[in-house]
Amino acid sequence: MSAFFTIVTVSYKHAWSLTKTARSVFRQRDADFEYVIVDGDSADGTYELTEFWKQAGLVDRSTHDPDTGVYDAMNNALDLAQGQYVCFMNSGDVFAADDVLARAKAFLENGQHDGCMGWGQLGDNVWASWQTGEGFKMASLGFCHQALFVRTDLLRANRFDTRKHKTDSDTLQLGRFYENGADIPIVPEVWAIRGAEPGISANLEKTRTSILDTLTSEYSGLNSEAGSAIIEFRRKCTHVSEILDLLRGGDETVRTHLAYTVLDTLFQKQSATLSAEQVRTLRAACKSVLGTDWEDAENRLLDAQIKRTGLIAEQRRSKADLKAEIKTFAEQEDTRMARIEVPASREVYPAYQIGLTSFPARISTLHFVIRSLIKQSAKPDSIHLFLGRDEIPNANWLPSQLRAFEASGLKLHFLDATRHQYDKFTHTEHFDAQMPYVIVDDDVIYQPYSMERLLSAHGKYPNTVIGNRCHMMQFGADGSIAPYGDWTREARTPEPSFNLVPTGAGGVLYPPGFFADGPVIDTAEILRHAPYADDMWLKFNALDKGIPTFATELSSGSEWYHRYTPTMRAGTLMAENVELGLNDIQIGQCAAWLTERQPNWRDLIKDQEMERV
Amino acid sequence: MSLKFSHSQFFEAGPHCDAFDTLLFQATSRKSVLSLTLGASDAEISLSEAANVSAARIGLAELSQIVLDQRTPNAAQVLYPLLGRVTSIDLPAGSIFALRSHNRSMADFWARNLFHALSSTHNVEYVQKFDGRAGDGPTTVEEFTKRYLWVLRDALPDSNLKRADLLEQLMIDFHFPVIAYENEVFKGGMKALRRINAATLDDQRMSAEDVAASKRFNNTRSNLLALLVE
Repeated sequence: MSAFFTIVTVSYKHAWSLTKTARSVFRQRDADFEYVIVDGDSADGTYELTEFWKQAGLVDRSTHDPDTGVYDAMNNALDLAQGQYVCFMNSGDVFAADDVLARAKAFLENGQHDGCMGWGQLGDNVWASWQTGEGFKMASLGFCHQALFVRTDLLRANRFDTRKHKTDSDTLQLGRFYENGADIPIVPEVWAIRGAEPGISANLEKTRTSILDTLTSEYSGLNSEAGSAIIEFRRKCTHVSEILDLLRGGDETVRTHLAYTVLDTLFQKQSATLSAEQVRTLRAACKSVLGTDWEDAENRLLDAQIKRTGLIAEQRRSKADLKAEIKTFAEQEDTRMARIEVPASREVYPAYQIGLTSFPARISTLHFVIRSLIKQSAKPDSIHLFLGRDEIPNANWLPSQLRAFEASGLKLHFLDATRHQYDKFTHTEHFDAQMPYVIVDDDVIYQPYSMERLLSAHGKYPNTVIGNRCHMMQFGADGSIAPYGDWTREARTPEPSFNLVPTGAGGVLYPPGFFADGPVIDTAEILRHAPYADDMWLKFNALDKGIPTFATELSSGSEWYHRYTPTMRAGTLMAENVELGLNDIQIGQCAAWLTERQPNWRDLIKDQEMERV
Repeated sequence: MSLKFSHSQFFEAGPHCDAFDTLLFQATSRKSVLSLTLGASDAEISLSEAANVSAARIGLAELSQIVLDQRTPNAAQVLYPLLGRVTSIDLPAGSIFALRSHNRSMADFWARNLFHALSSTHNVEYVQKFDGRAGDGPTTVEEFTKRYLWVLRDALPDSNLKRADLLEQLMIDFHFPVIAYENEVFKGGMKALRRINAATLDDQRMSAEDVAASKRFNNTRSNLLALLVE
């Protein structure tokens, strides 16, 4: 029996964004769906990544063929879809909650509707659809295609317009559904969150050409000048007189669709430039156009906007609460830092570097982490912070407290697109790979002696990975690796061990040359075997290099950290990795990768155990 | 701190008034608010230390039924005082553009700054204030309106501004177009004021249900935009 939903992600050269999108799809695990990925032959590791998911049973089908654009790829996906309803969750975008598919199914399972449409979110704003009907041909009216579920046969019968200049094929298609009598009601809940990456609509001129083409070809009563006025009103709320003229005379379909467009626009940010009198006049004109439909339309509009206001206000309150929490945290940390003296170590350690990455949700508290790294008894030569421009465009977006640390050795590296947790060690052009390199997390306040512990152990065991927090890998009687959940937590051994697996959170020192070359920094290999588990990838690469791990004394008893920052809860990988079993899948993949390279790698562990005996 | 000037002192062109100049200096140096209140036969100028005030505040007698807001076109704002008669002006230091030149009256200083405030900034508030009408002869308020017209005449030439019955004609023009303006600013400004007036009259003719619906619409919109624009 076919799945209820087909979730489609189309992607082109967005392998790392795809990891984020797919995670949100995997989290809908209790729902009845199949997952299809359509990649435009990206050659950026997307193929390898998709193969990883297919082997793990998380992706059902994929194609990797060139296409002519996003709408062509979406049409191609329709040929692969076997579910009853399709949702296009494209690369970089995510579901807003883990039960979106369950909620959509509850709405659709009686079979009475041709689809349903939730709301979308982009940044701080909520896109709130409130009006169904063919008016979508004129404007998006709050529509977010990532939150739309439509019957597969309906989509196949009304494919996306793939002409090169089209950027509004999704709204046009939705308008056509309604024009043909489709029943696709609105469910006023946020179901999808758009990524920050600029989408197909980001090119304003191209979008303008496309919409103008739609307006003049779909509405016989609209010429190019009138179409331009509608576009400008929608974008900037200018051309009010022209809009009023259009509302007061001319083609009835144009007037009706324009009335919905105007009403929707009056609840967008750009309408703040309109005077009270202009708003009043526009509302009165819309009211006159809609006649007997006015009362219903206005009620729907206002109910949606009141709900939208509530959602935005709630998010602002959460932000304010977090801000207050950060303030308290800052006061506590300032008091603590003022009380403790961190004398420079008397020991002489080699110069070392620290690498870390971060993302928007944690950036407001990152300076506490950096301060704890600078206030170390053994000071780092430099701290390398890697950030993706697709998430944080430039240094102006960073808090001043963070930028202030540039004077103390913090080096900011803005990358074209984030590779998430892998950024901290794969950009070897930005750090000296022949120096000891310590990887840390962006949500942990480190003890003042954390780095010294690593360096001290490094002095004793120079060609060893040193971790302040390690787990002990366990094996079954048949030599297979035991599930991650059965490993011994926060373990240590008297001597370096191949069984120990360091975790990045405690700070892990890698010996000089570890990242200089080889598969450890090969992103295609990473995406194929361990897209979400950098700790495991690094561990199996250490085994590949024949390098054991040593756990410092901090590894037992949770002494490896002082505390977490208040933004720790945001974007943690742990839940998915453990709950979805991704850790075990990735461990299995990494082990298979290593076995292919070194069939006898387990002998390393056995030999060591024999020596101990 | 305040100074009171008689009708003739206020409107008289001539030498500097040291006391006024001192007040003006203090207003700009302390970033205070300089205020003018026109009485029946005199004018009072004062200084207040109101912090964080950025809006110019115009007191109008016979405040028109229409309400302007920050987004009303400047051309309409410039004409608005002629429909209501200015009785007071509060100018924050940031809104003082014209200083008093050598042989011009204090009234001229205020009229020029009023024009600048209305034509160059959207940050203007209007309040209803006592009209100052009393006694025989032209009142300070009426005389000040004339001075404001002089400034308009200077800045925006239009032969209509020389008509003896101009203020009366403007009031009619506010309801029906009767003046053929030469200046585009007056043309556009009065058209905007007429539009606002018509919409206001429409509102007044609305039923109680319509008024409530309109209020709900505006409140919902204001609440949302306050979040989106903050």
